[in-house]
Amino acid sequence: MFGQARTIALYTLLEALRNRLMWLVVAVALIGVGLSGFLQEIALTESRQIQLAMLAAFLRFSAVFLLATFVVTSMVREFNDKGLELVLALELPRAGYLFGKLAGFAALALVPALLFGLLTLLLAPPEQAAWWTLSLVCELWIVAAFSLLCVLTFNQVMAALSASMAFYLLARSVTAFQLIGHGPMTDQSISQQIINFVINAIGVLLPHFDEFTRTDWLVYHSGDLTALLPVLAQTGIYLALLAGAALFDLYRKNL
Amino acid sequence: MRERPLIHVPQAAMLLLALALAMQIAWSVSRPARQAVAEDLPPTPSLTVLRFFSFGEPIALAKGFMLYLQSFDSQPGLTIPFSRLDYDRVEGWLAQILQLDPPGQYPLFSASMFYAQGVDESRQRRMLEFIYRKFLDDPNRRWPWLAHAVIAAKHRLKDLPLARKYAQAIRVHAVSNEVPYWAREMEIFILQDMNEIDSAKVLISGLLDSGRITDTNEIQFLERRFKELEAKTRAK
Amino acid sequence: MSSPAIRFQNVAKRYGTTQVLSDVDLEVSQAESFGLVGMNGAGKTTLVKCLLDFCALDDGCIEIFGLSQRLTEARRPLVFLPERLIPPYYLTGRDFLKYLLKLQSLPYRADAVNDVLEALDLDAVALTRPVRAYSKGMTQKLGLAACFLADKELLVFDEPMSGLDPKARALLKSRLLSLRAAGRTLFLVSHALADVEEICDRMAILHRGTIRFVGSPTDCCRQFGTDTLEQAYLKCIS
Repeated sequence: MFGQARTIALYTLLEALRNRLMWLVVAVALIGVGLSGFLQEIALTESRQIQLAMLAAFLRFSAVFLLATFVVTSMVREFNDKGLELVLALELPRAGYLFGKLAGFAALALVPALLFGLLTLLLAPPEQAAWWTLSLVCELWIVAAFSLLCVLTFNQVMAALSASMAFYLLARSVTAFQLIGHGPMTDQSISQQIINFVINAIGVLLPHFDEFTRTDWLVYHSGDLTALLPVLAQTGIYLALLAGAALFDLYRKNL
Repeated sequence: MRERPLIHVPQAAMLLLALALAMQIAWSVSRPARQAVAEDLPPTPSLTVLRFFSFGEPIALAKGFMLYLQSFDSQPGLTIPFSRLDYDRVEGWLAQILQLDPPGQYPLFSASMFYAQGVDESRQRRMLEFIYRKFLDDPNRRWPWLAHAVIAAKHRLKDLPLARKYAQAIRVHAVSNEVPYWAREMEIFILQDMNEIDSAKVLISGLLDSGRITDTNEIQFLERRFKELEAKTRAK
Repeated sequence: MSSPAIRFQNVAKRYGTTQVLSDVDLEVSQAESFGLVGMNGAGKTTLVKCLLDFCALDDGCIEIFGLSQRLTEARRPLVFLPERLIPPYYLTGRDFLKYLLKLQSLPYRADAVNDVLEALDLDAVALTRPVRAYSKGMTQKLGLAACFLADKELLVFDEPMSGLDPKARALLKSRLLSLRAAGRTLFLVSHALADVEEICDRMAILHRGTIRFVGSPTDCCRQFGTDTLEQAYLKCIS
């Protein structure tokens, strides 16, 4: 099964290379550098920090968007072209197919993460750029796995992509929602308590992306191992959760 | 298409899902709760940057930034009294937002209703001066906030000369017919409070003689006021 | 006595309230060439999907060389060609063959590939082109080539003649007959009664989810008292 999964992973990577995803990644990198350079020129103060912050935020979101879009469109196309049937008619367990795809998308995520991480090296210390890059890899792996799960569930590009982006945005803002819910200005009526309970339940089930790939590591050099270890732990646990959910979905799927 | 029965899912997959879910819950619950950390207002970007990032929607960006600015007094999980905000930056943000959306009332509303209240005197004066300067850019639209500034100067700062300066500015610059007469004539009441009855009478005569006052109610009000002031002068 | 290559026992399948297959009992012996015919919507593709464990059975069971079709290893001796093959768009012909061979842990041997392509009248130069530039016939030939290169005991083909020109059809028939002679088991799903008559030892007629006839093409004509298989088929489903 592992040999087959490796083959599927390699061919997933090949698909990304051949459908010009890499060109898009390079284009995004150039746009990011150009944009942040332009802003640096017109800023009156903290220009380097502004450039770095804008660049990091832009690259991070772009990487997530590009990867999620590729995962969703690639998988939907494979379903529609009966590629899944072609492969599953072989002596290949569905788990082997899934792990192959996950491994392929994980390998693919390294490309924008490393390229964008290298760009931050132009402006940030190497150690901080390394933490940021590593965290971005973790974030992209979770996004890729979730996008794959969404495709298995929805089978359509729009629904899967919308769900993936909603998940990402919610995971980035869930901590803020929790803090607001428990804030001193918030009325603690029964309805608010129910809302707080729901938000907390969501907060327990989502990865807290506001702790990942933080811009302040680059700008204020505050990143270190103690910041990164929880990121790695959360990534490991969440990938296992998403893999389990995706397997559950795939094995129950009638093709 | 109906899904396949659960028996088709390998036990290892079910176990992975259950274990991972349990671990995720345990992990989330074990993490220390995030504390709200007060964030200070960041420095104001240049107008060029703001216009660039408005992507052709400067008004939407201006409104959005007003909400962002406002959120600094009520950040997730805590409140920040205005007194702790950097007023250089507050003023900077309000000015930039006004540049993006000149007809917008929200910045001066906030300046007069929030940022000029409940803070030390120097910050209050600062905000009132800000309102005054911005009023001069568009007096016929921004007079209400300067009217608030007149009241603030008179009652909170107890600075009648300052109140007169603002009231005079309304009279001189807010000349549109839409400006109600009570706003235009605030200066008269300030002068009265300053015991400058003669100045008040001269002002009223000037207004009546100028021919700019056309509303009969306003003319009658001014004439009545003049008579009252004359009576006061005689009584002295 | 060796187990049959395929055994369908009491197979039933529903989609919602529609009974797509009911009481399907069939056996395909080893080294036999078997044809499954039926109208559009008769349930042929569903039966194949059940065989390959793409969808779950509602009743009954299916065995492939004695193993339950639910087991992954049951598909080891099997190769499948779907009705409308669409190879992954980003591959060339050669990449596609390598991909499928790698997934089956089989080596890519250029000489074997060339032999198979020649047998199917597909120009070897086509392998360098992206598959999305292939015609329908070329795609079908590529799919057939992939199946023959796998060299499996059991070949499950859904409309193998689809899109082929007359020369390619003749070559394919010749290849299938030689595979039958070599002891391979063929399970063909087809509309083309003439091909089934020529290639298959036995056949089954599936109509509205149930098996209406199982036997040789000759037996079919005899049973329904007709001269041609086509007439026998029409009488069977009427």
